[in-house]
This record gives sequence, C-alpha cells and structure tokens, in this order.
Amino acid sequence: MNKIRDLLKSELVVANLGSRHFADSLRLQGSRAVQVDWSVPCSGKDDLISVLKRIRMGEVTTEGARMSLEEFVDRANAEALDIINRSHPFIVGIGKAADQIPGMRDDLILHAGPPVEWDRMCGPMRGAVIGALIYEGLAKDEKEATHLAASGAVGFEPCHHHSAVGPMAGVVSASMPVWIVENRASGNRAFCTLNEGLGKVLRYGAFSREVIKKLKWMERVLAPTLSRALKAHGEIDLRTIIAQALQMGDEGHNRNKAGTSLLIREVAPAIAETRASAKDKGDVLKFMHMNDHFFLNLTMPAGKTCLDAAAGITGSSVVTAMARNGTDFGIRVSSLGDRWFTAPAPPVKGLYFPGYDADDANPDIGDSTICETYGIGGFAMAAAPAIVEFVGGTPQDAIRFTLSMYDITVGESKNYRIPALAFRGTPTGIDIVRVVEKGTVPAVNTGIAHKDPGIGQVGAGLVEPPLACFEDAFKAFYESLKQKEEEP
Amino acid sequence: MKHIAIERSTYLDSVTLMRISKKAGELAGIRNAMAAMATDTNLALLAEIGFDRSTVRGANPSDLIIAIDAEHESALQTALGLVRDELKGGVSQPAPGRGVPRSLERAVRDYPEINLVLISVPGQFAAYEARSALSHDKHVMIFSDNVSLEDERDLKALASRRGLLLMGPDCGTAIISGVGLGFANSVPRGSVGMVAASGTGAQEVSSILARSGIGISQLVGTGGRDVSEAIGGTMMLMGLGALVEDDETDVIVIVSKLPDPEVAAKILRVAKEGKKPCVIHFAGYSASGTDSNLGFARTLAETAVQSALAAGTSIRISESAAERLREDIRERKCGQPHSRRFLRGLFSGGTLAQEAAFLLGPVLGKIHTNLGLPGMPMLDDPAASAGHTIVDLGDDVFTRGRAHPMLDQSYRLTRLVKEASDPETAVVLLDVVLGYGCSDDPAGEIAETLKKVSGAEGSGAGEPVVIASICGTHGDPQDYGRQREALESAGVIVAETNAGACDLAREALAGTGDE
Repeated sequence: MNKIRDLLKSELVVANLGSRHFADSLRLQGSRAVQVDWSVPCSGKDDLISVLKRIRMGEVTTEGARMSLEEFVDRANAEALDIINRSHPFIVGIGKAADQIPGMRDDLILHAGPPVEWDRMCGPMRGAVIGALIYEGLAKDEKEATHLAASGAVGFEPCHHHSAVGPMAGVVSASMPVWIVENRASGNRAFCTLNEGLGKVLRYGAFSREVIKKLKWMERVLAPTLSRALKAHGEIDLRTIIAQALQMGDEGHNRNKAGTSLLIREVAPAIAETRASAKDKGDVLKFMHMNDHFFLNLTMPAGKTCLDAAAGITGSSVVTAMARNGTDFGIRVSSLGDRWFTAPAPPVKGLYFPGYDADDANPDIGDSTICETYGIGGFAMAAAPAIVEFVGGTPQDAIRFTLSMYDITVGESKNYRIPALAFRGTPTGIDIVRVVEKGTVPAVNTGIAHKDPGIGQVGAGLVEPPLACFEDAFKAFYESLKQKEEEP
Repeated sequence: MKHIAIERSTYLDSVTLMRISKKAGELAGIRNAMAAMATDTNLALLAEIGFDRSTVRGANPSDLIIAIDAEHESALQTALGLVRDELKGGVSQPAPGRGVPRSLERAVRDYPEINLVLISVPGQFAAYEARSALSHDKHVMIFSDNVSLEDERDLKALASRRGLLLMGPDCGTAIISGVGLGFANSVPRGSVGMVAASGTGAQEVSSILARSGIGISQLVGTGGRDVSEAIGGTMMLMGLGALVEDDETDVIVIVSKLPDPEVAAKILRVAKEGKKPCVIHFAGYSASGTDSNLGFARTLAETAVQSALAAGTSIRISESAAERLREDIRERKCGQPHSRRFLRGLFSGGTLAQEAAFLLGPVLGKIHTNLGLPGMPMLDDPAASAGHTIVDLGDDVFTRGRAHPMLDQSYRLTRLVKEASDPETAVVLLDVVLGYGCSDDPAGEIAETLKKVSGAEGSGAGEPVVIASICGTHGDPQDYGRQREALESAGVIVAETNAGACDLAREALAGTGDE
C-alpha cells in the first residue's frame, strides 16, 4: 500500500493521454498536467498495431522470473544505451586498409550501405569503384575498370561487415590509408578512410586523373605525416573532442568545422615536429584546414565502435546501424544480428548549390548516418545554429527538431550535451519500437551527391529514412521475442 | 581537510563547472571547492589553492577533478553531495521547454514527477498504455471504455502486485488529494473518503456533501466491472484498504452497483475490519440499516446524509422546498390532458439513470430502459421511447462517434424536443451533471431548448412537467446557482437530489393511468 499512500500524500502530477479537455480541467484546478500528444500508433496499420500490443502486453520468463515483455525489452535497451554511453573512442593511429581492416583483401572493394552488387549500384558508387580499381592499379582506365567490376573478379562488401564506415560511396580498397579508432571501453576497433575534401573526389564517384593523384598524395604524404605526428602525440580522445565540438556549433555530420579545428589544434604541434619537409608539413596542415569535413571521417568510426559494442544484445530494439548505398537504405538492430532491413533509398530534401536542383540528385547515400545512430548529426541539430537553414531557418526550429527525437530514443547521451537545451544529453539509442509506434523516423542531416559519377556534392539537406525498413525490423523483432516467449 | 576525487572521462564545459564550484564553495564550512577538467591550467590553479598536485598524477584533460577543502567531515560530505548532484543534474536537467512528449514513455522520462496517468484514448489502445504506465510504476486511471474483461483482469492483477491504483476502465470520476480527475465536482477537502464503482454515483454523493460544507479526503474510482465475479473487486478492496489506512479519512463511503455476492462479502469483511464508520450504497440493494460500523443506504442522497452523520454533521435536504415544488407540480398537472401519462427519463449519468429506475420501477410498474436491469424490459430501440422510459444516454449506442453526453448533450437536446413534443409524455426527468470535465453550460442549453419547444406550442399549459436534479456544487466551473436559475427560468422543477427528483416525478405521475 506504500505507493498508494505516497500518491495520496504528494502533489498530484498527471500525464494526460487523450482528451486535452481533461488536462485543461486539471490546470483549472491549479494542478499540474503533462499533456501527451498521443496519436493512433503504427500509422494506424492493423498488423503492426497487433504486434505492438503483443509486445506491450506479453510476458517472458527470464532467469526464472516472470516479467513483462516490455520490461524485458526496456532492460535490454538500457543495457545497449549504457554500453553506448560508456564507450570511449580514441584515435590510435593510421594504417593501411589491407593491414588493419579485418577480412580486407586486394580483390575486395568495400562500399557504403547495405550489400549491393555492381548491377544495382548507383552512379556515384560505380564511379568510386572505378576510381578505386584504377587507384589500386587493377585497371588502367574506366573501360577496363567497368569490365573488371562487372566480371565478378572483384568482390563487393559493405564497410559495415568489416568494422568500417565510409561517407557517401564509402569505397575502401586495400592500399588506402585508414584511421584506426578504438573503443577503450570494450576494446573493439573501427576504420574509416581519410576525408578527401570537397570538389571532385572519389566518395562522390569522381575518378579523373587529379582524383587519383590526390588519393596517391594522401597515401604518400598525408597519412605518413599524420601517422608519425600521432605516434609522437599519443592517442587522441575522440569523445572529448566531439563533446566540445557540439558545444562549439557542430552537430557532427553536416557541420564539422569545430571538430576539424580542434583536431588541427591537437595535432599541429606534433606535425611541426615531424621530420617531413616543410612543404609537406605545410601541405598537410593546409589540406586539413581547407576541408571543413575532415573530422567527419573520425566521428563516423567513433560512432561505429560504440554501436558495434552495443550489437547483439538479446531483446534490444536499439538500432546499431543505418546506412545507404545510394540504391537502398538499410538498418541493423542490436538483437537481430547481422541482418539488414532495407527499403529503397529516399531522395534528400535539401538546399542546392547554384546551378543544381533536385533532378541532379542521387538518392540518399553513405554510411554517415552512423552519426544519427550514435545520437549526433541530425539528432544534435539544436547544437548547430549555423546550419539551421536546413530545418526551417531559426534556432527554435533546430531545438524542436532535436526535441522530437527524444520520442524515438531510449535515452540520452551522457557525453554529448546541448547548450541550448540546458546541457541535456543528445537523444541516443534509436528504438525501432518507438519509431514504428510513433511513425516518426530518425532525423538525418546529409550531403547530396550528383547522380552522375564524378560531379560531386550538389547540396545538403535532410533525409527521411523509409519507415518500411523499420516496420520490417519491428516485425522480425517481435518474432525473435516470440521465440523467447515460447521458451519453457 | 582536503579531498580530491577524479571522475575519469567526464566532460563538462567550464562555465557549468565554475557554477558548480561556486555553489559548493558557498556552503558553510567549505574553504575552497573546485570542480574542473584536469587541464594543466586547472592543475596549476589547484596547486595554488593548496592542493598537492601529486594526488592527481595520471589525470588527463578529459578527466574531471573535484577538489574540496573543508573545515570538517560533514561539511565535506555535504559539498561532495552537492557537486555530485549538480554533475548528475546536467544529464537530464529539463531543457528550457522539454517539448511536448508524444508518448507516455517519453512523458515519464522527461517529467519523472508524474505520479498518475489518465488515459482517455480509444479503448483498443488503452490497455497497453495502462500496462506501460504500470511498468513505469505510475498509478493509472482509465477513462476509456471498450477494454476487454481479460485485459482489465490482467491489468488489475499487475497493479495489485505492484501496489498501484488502476482505476477503471470506464472510470469517470476520481478525486485524488483534492484534485478532480475526469468528471469530478469541486469539493472541499475533508474527512469523508470514498471508493466508487460508479462515476455519477460518486459525483452525486460528494456534491450533496460539498453543498453542506462536508469535504472529501480521497475519492478512488474503480470502474463499474470491478465488483463483478471476474474481477473480484480488486480495486475496490485496494481503495478501501488505502482509505482505512489514510489518517485523513474518518468516514468511508462505498458506492457501487450490486456486487457479485462473494465480492460483496469480501468488501463488507474488509470494511468491518477497518473499524472506521463506513456507509455502503449498493445500487438496487434495498435494505437499509446498520451492522456494527457499517451502515447501508438505499439511495445516493441517503448515503450522503448517513455519511454526514457519521462525520458528525446532520444535513437536511430541504423539505419545505419539496412541499412548494409539489404544489407547483399539482398546478401544472391540472392543465395536462389525460393522454399525457408516461415518464421519460433522459439521463447523462448512468448511475443516476439506474437509481431512477430502481426508485420508480416499483411505483410505476413497467419502465423500459437500456440499462439491462433485472425485471425491467429493455427498449427495442434505445433511440425511441416506449411507455415509461428511462435511458442512459452515456450508453455505447449513443456515444459512437460522439462525445459522452456530459461533455456534449446535443443528442439529449434533440431527444428532449422529441419527448416534450410527444403527446403521451407527462413527465420528463433529467439529470444535470456539473463539475470539472463536464460541458460548460448544460442547464443553459436545456433551458434554451425548452423555451423553444414551449414557444412553438404556444402556451405552457398542458405541457409535460420537466423535473431535474443538479449534481454539482457552488464551486464548480459551471456554478450551481447559475445552472439552477437557468433551469427554473425555463419552468423546470429543480430537486435537490436525484432521489428527490424521482420522488417528485412519482408525485407528478400519481393518478395517471398505467399503460
């Protein structure tokens, strides 16, 4: 009876689900009421509603104790969130893809998003594959590369299957230098190429001579110089830099100015002390300085190490990956192993550079949605007033944007906090059950690639992930719970 | 005494940390307090205020240092507690505008102070939302109906395991710590505690008490099915137990339809063991009398009178007024043609409709209802009266696609026109339910409708007698006095209580031939 006594002895605070009228009546009596903006769940789809009800009303036996399915799932999700929060990514160095990435081979090309074969690849991804084959010396020109790619002699696999992530086309080949990021809390690593900068670049499908030349320079000068500087400097705490960057106006996906600047500040003295030529050192610093997104290729593997650590938790409905290959959008869920749930990649709604419009845009592409999966990027929009144009133009729009994501996440980041929200942690741990129940998809900030290979970025904006892949995952999630339910 | 602690890899911005340091430094018995990231500058500062740097060897700039110089241990512990709370506070401190939650789960996360969840979403979704509220350890009131009996049983079993209230489903009224939930009247706080399986029944009793200045400690609703065999009175018994324990409750009132016999036995046993004076009204149970600390009341009005007595006050439901009203009725009856011989009761409150049927049935003989009461014929079509008729307009048939008549009585007004124009109608009997959650001006609407009807027919002579009771208090948003005036201005005979209105109706129908 203690809980009832507590209720009768304390101030009544009501959550009102349903008729707003009752909340008004409570306020009229001087009582506090929190109105819940309730709506019919699951976009009114009966099959999904019945699954939702079964999740909410079901029971399981675990460790001999009977508990509601919902509590079972909540517990698993709390564990996933805790792992994400405790995860602590560090830059440990730079190495060669073939040496570092597990399962990497000379005849293997990694790409962004869920699995996709050559014949279904979009323009920019094909362009990037062609570029990578030329870069590796496996083909001498576009024709040869196209032939080779179509022949089946090279393999294509998602970066995500190899502890890696890549922005846009996300193409990684054996000789490319990669950042090595380690999650100190759980010991796992993630890998990502070094960001090439803007303009004609491989990740947007460009493969001209100058593109290859730049990649070679990155392999020959940038990577070794940075690598030596890092050895002298010691490992770099990424979590702290990301936390600070969010308080300096980055959201970590579409704006990386602060993160890039903080990184430069961190490594510049060590670069100056390396034995490279003054020109090379100058070029390296200039290259990082000229590229506002240099740090993106570090937030991404940072997120990857943390989310990989949260994968494989029985009963957890937390999303551990969202990724696009320019053809499909795919997600993975903690308790559902390596399965991808995919749907056609949607168009990006955005602002375009002069001379381009929506007709030029490729559907959504890249692994960079790992940022939102990790609780930054679009989820931290309220931290980035400089880019509020993407969400309506005012800081209030950005705040609303971030606040709405708390509806679909299991909790908040303990590390990444938003000044404009009184240092509240960013919404973290996307929950497919909540996504499907509310019909609200994760808010993603992203760049827009030209649909033809080699042209590059044509704009930036927002993308709404397809609800269908979350719905499919939701059904599969319930099937997995049902097995648990049926266990004796 | 100096104390240093290192929180590994905890990043907070320096302004927040300075604010926390300042707050801790201002505490009594604290010489110095510093919460800061372990940067070189901060470590130097630490040394300057007399801390030994060697104690934080190994700290790096992503670690947070808490350093406190206190005069004694208890001051140190207070300061450490404050710093830790403040550090934690940053994690889920409400933002300026926590936003509008779109789910219960988000609401209870963002507003942990929530202690009760009021659910009025469509019935098919109410059960799982209630379940979720219970798993978050919140008390629940389900206003929605159309929740299955199995779900109700499971939810109540869960609530009872967790020691939580699960009021409902189909629970219209509760008053918790002076705050009315759903449909509830503005009543003072007092010493009468109620547990009710009927919404308007609870409103009627608490309003009568309130009009006499007697207050309510708590009013726990259970939903009508609680006292059935299937549910077993789970919430009735829990509510009763809570009132027995509650030191602000001196008198307990139980209002319910007739429970399943075994459930009734359990309720009575618990009430008896509770020792507090307890007034019981089981609708349709006609015995009154007492049994040690238990008193039984036949009507809701009588329930109020008995509980007032138990609380040490006697209330008098004005008989002189009733006498004057009887005269009024006799005068009007004189002008009525003999063809007007039937009662038409149009109720917005289900319990009030039932009470009317129980009180008038034995006198009038056959009353057609939609109430499903034993021994009373059911209306073939609830939308069409037949002979003596009492309809509960809150019944599902009438609320499909429309709000409850206590919120929106547009159907009742249409029906009122129909009944008043029916040449066979002798008496129209109404309830006017006021309170929080109810519509703004029910009496005004009724008065306006009646004025239109009598305007259309020319004169007042020969028209049906309209009798109403008002379930409400002077503190209600609709204002009891104003509602009463509105009714009287349209020639409605206004009784003090529903039972009183039934008495007057019986008077008005005396001498009219049976069907």
